[in-house]
Amino acid sequence: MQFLDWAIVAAYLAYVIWDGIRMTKGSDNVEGFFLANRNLPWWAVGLSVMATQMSAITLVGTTGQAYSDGMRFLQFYYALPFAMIILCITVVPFFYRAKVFTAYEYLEKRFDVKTRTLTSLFFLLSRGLGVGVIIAAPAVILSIVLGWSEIATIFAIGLTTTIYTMFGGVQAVTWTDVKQMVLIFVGLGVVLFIILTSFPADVSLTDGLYLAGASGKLTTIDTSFDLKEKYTIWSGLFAALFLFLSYFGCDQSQVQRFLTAKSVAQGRTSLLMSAFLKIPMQFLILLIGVLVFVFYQFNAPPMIFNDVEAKKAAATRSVDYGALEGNYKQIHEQRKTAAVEFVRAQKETDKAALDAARDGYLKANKEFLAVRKEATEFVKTTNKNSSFNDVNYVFPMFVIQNMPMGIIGLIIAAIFAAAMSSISSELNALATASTIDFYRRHFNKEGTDKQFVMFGRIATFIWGIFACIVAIYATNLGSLIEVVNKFGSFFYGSLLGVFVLAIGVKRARARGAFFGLLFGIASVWIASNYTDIEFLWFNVVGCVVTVAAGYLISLTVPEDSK
Amino acid sequence: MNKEESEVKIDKELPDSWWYRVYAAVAVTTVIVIALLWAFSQYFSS
Repeated sequence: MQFLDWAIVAAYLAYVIWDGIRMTKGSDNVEGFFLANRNLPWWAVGLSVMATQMSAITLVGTTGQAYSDGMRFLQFYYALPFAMIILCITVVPFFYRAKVFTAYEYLEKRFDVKTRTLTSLFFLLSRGLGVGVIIAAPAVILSIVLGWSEIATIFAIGLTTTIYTMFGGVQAVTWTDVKQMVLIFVGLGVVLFIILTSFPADVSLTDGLYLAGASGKLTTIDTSFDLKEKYTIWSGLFAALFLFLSYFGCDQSQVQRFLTAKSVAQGRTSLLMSAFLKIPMQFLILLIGVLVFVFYQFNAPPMIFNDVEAKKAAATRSVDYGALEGNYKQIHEQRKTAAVEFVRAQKETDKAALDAARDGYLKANKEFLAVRKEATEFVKTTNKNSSFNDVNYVFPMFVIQNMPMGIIGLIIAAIFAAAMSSISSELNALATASTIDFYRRHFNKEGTDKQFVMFGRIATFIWGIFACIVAIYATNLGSLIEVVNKFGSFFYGSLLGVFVLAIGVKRARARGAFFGLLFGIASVWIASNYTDIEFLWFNVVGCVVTVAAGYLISLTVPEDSK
Repeated sequence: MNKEESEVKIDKELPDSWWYRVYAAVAVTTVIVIALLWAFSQYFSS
């Protein structure tokens, strides 16, 4: 990081805090602080919906995942547009016309206060933990770049976001989200351009894609039906559908976005905007990860992307580490030669020569991966760190080692922006649920706007500190994006089940919804502990069990009672 | 259509039939995008 990079990052942080705090003026009443007086345009809400979902994990974790596993992760998003359509038909008009502040408030209107409180509590628990993980991702990067401790970095990110969210409320969250999305798009565009211009002169984008395709990095559809397989077309279309329905329709951090829209039509349009843009945007992010893979076919990648762990292992067993590194460099050179040969063969018409070059490249790549795996195991055993995984370090190390001055600062600012856009929405949602579903509902029913806004600001601060503490423990949990989704999957399916009962099952009653939710969560716990099914399917299990149990229990309640 | 006209149009409570056409367009576009991604994957992996 040079002076210019620091200046860009500092300018971004200063601007975003100033921009957020100046929204305080329009946030002095409950409706203004929590819902922006229901007056935001659809395009701002739409960008905020996307910014909330796209955390720094999306930038860092997904590009790392594409580098190591290819584009299979894209399948996860195939159901998103269909989920948005279902939500536009169902929950958007329901919530908007019910004039609620939180999704859970609606459950009291439909069932009872017990169900509302329980669902809101589960939201606070799962989202409180989730936002901690979302802070941890950029902290991991910055602790390497800046040489700071992870704890100091976590508090720097978490507290900065907490300050502007605390003062500006949802208006600050939404309008900073819009600007942060612009910064992210600019950052991604610049990275893409620089990677493409960094390939050797005789290697085109098409050549690079052939290399990536031969290595299995461009798989966008996997039709194998295996519940233990993480990303297939089936888990993407069905299991992820349940996750998206729950996340966008029942999670306050997303529901609050469309509740700020001017009308039902504008709320719907904001969700459909996300439906149109999400898959292409995710494709672009994964493509960057794949192109980083192609870049490293011709340039030696670090043997271990986590510099701190690599140095630690090298210091402990320097001779062994040196030998491994020497072998790694040699194997890389062999793979590079094979890659150049494969690219050359692509341009000729000799099919047999092309097949031979392709086989040669695949063999060299396999040997390379074996040595890299050996190096990873070496670090695990030497550092006594069985959960070591450097997939999240791939993109930041690539940026730091290969991007020019100024661009590094821009990318770091974009990663900051991605993190802060999610953190702010979620802190705001956590504060809203704490204030509306607990403080106002149970402790101060006759309170004034001033009291509720003050409580909302204090709650934002407390949740910010809590998230920072969770983040400290979340930095070593493997691929961060999966950790967040796993957190969600434990509660999301069951939460969705309660809303299905509320909106779609006339015979559902409060007792059924309450106990159905508990049955749903218990079923997910059993599925996670006693089966091998992948976590995305937990959403299906939780939802189906909640709806079935909720309906059956409702039959035991007289039809004319609530 | 200028910006103001566009805002006015979108603020009206549009009939369900209009929305269903929009949803159908989103669904069809998604299927086409997924098919294109599959074709992209097949083209460069062969």
